[in-house]
Amino acid sequence: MTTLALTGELTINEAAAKRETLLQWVADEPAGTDLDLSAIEACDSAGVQLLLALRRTLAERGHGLKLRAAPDCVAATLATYGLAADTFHETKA
Amino acid sequence: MNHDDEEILAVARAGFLDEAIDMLRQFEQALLIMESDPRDAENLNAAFRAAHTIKGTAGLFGFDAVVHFTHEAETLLESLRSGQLSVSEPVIALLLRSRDQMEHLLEEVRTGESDPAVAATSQSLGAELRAAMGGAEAAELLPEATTHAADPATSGGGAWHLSLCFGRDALRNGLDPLSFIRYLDTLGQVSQIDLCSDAIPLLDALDPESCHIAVEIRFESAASKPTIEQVFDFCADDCDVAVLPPDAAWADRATLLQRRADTDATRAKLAAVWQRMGWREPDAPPATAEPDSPATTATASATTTAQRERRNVERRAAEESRFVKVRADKLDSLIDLIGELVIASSGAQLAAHIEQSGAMMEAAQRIGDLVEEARDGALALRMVPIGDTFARFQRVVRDLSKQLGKEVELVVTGGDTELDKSMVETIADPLMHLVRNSMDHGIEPTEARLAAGKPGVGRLAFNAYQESGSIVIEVSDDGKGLDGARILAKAIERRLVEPDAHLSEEDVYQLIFLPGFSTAEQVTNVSGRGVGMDVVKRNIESLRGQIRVASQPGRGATMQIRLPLTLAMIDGFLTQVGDVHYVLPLSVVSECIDVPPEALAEPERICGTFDLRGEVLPYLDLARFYGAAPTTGRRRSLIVVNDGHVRVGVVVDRLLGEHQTVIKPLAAIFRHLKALAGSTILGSGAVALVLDMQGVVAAATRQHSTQHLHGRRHAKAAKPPISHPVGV
Repeated sequence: MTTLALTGELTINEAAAKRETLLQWVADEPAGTDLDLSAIEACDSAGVQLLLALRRTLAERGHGLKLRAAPDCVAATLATYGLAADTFHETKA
Repeated sequence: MNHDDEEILAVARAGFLDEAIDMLRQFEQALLIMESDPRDAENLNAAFRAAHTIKGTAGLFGFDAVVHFTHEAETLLESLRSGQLSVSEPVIALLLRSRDQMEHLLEEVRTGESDPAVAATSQSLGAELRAAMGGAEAAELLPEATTHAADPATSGGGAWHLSLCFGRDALRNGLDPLSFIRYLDTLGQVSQIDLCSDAIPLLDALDPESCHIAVEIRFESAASKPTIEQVFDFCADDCDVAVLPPDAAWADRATLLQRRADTDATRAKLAAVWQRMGWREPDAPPATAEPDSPATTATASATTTAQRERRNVERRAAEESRFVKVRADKLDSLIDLIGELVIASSGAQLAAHIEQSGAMMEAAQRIGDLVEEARDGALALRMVPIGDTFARFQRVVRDLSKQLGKEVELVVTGGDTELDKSMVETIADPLMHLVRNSMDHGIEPTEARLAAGKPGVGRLAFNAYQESGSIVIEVSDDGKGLDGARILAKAIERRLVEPDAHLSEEDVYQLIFLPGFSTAEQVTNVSGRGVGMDVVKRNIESLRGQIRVASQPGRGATMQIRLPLTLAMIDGFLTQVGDVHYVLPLSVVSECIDVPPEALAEPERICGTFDLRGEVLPYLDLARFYGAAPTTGRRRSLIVVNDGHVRVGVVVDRLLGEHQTVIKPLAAIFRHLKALAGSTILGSGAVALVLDMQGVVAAATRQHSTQHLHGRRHAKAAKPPISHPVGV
């Protein structure tokens, strides 16, 4: 199990770049399911979309997605959508 | 085709920039009001709307830098709106700085250049905005707890159901569903929310900037349906909103289910979600409702769209009925055309005159009168109230007070006074200099004011009014006034005037407008390296205006700017010198008399003084001044000109009377000619020169004084010159 540490923002500003990063991660390390968010500075709806898309993509491959050390900004955004950072992998569609 | 598209885009972009600048102005005004009254929710909303509109339209054009930054500011405003953060001075200051940054970003859009420094500021300010939010998020727990406590009371209205399906472009247009959902908290409580994650594609199929967000919300609120629907007014185009009241009939829900889900599987899933949100099982299965539902679906969505349309239309109509937006260049070409009409009409009058046909003369006269009215009407279209310009200074005064540690209030009167639009733009800079100068050098620090027995808060006043064909703008302060002795000493030290010069009080004050003059002992970064006041004067003179200073030591100073009503057309007074026609603005002509004996006695002089009913006035002989030989054997005349504060005589060969004058600029090659403001074409097709009154006055007084200086060094000028001892 490998961990990917994301930095910067999970927002529309960086959504395209983050998607590339995540796509590569998923392609390189199909076993990796931990996402370290401790260095994320901001998160908006585009970020939530990305996380959900990632979760779905991993689920198709039989993995759960675990969000680690989600900072307040991520937790607050997820909470607004009724999602919990710590149980992110459980709320399967 | 491609070219056309580009043109359309360019036009639309210009429109966007204009609108955005308007929005920024509203944004700023709202913030300034909020600063003095932190609980003013109306202005908070106005600021939010302004930021939102800028972001939204910038998004349409793909100006990402603007969208991203404005988004940050909007997010902060959002947290103010939702009460997560309270309005405080640092927050307003931060938002005001953000406003400036938005302006810089918009300027980059306009010029098409991008400055890395501006981008860096976006980053750092964005971080500051987020940091301010961070404070809010930390504090979020507390208000939340209180909202919850308060909720039972407000949730008496029962549970609403909101179904939001955002359009693909919502995020790109700068609309984040988050803001809307969070805003709901101000109206009640979101007790359950379900983000339909099935709607979000797999990572490799995801366009990360498209919006795939659809949420179902159980919303406990006592608010009315329109109030709740209003939350989503902002995103009407980018979000399909369904609001079901607590007592909604099952049929409505079935309709919504049809609208949201198109296959049985998705319908089942959505129904399950709804069930988890506490919806009662239907008495009848949804299937029975199905036969008639396509129709109801259609009508339901049709009515909502229709309602939305109608709301938009009503709103727009209310705004549009009051104003029509016209492109400035269309207006300019209309005014040019009327200018030609004025010339043509005077040509017709001349022709009628030559023909000696009474009927033609009468008709031409009638046309001439109508053209004059049309001219005034067209020029009035270009007039804008100066109040908008004054209002911009609220911010400047606020910022400067903070920077200088002085308390100053700005009082504006006469904001309705109208001024040509092009002048309004040019006058803003000089006003800025004057304001800075007054606040820095004029108004004393609070302690000094209290010690001098004045109120602690300084007063800066703008006033504007119309007076005899000109617009007067005054900037006054109740500071310490100008120190005439120090100005004179400084001017002598800088060799700007002769040590033994005799100057009137007002002429001493005029010295501050000389290049390279500054009396501020302490050079500050607000004003005061001696650059500025000379530029102020130059700018004002470029508008054919003038500036004067009045000051009362210890009581304050007033800077008075006098501008002509318009730059394009004037009522002129036509005269002739030799073969050349000259036009003076009719508004400055006070009387015409025979050439006085003093001038007749010395016919070779360009200028001198004469006695007008006991008053000594300088005069200028236009013929000599422009190096032409005056006509001999004809009675010449002297026109007494009053430009508002100085009276001078102008000697001409013939007086031809009133003439509507369309001022055309002089070609660059003629710019060096003295005392000319432009040219005009007469009805006969001949060219007349328009005199620049200030130049004439300056020439009459300057030439006059230098002659005296050369002759008798210590002669006291009858009317001392508006000192220009340094050759300009």
